Amino acid sequence: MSPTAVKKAKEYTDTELIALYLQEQNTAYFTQLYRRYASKVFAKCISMLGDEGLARDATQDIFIKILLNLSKFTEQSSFSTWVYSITYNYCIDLIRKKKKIPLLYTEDVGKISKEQEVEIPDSVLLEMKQERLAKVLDRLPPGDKAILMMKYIDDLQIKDIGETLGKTESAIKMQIMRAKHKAQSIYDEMYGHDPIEGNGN
Amino acid sequence: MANNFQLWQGDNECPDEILNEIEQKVVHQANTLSLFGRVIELFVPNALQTAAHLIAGSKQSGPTRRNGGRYSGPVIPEGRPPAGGGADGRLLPSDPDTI
Repeated sequence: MSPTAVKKAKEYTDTELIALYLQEQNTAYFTQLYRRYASKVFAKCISMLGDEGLARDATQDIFIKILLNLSKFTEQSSFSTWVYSITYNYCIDLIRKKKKIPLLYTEDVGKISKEQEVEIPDSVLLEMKQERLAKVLDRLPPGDKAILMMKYIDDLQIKDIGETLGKTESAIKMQIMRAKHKAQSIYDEMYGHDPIEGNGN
Repeated sequence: MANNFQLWQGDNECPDEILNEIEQKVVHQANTLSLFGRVIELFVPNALQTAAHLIAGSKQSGPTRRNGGRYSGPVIPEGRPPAGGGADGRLLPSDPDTI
């Protein structure tokens, strides 16, 4: 692709690049999409999988999957949401297969306990010291980790998180509440001398 | 301003050399798929047409038929016009207008 064409490709929106690629089958357009999202996809993979080698393979597989399913992208959500959806589902499936973890989410069924009925403010997690947050997140079930990442890193709407994980909005809200409680209990267990205040700002 | 979650993920950003290495592999696969798609476009219609000819048979390639066989064409005695009238359009003797 000529330098002028490359420059022009950078100015296209994601939707325009997809349409051009599907029309002309010119991989330069897909390459531009790759360059926009590869870094974020890799960061999510390594955050979920915790291993650089796995994250590299996962990133490659995810972009091949995106390539093969590009014609199925319907613009019901943004392209970035679609990409992150594929990324999270791929990572969750991989973790489940490798570690044979039956439970992906905290207490997926049944009533929540009295303690869990108390809503934990977002600030409790967002103000957690970064190195402690990393350790707490590493101990969360992968599904809970993915939901919190989608909410607090990607700023996805509840509706979009539900579509990504194939759950209803009410189920996602409940899962976020449980994930925050789980994160708090892990934090208390690890750093009991410096507990989180549930009534924080 | 980034929150702690975003900063935490930011620490996991990928070095350029790894991204470039993955890019080469992904683009290579994309080129292979694109080439494969073009091969399919070129050869599949011709292959399907050939298969259709083989199954249905064509006039040139159809089996030869003996005279008087079960599926042979009508045997027309000498002197009689073919069914449907002669080339000059004359009506058959059995036509009601000639009675």
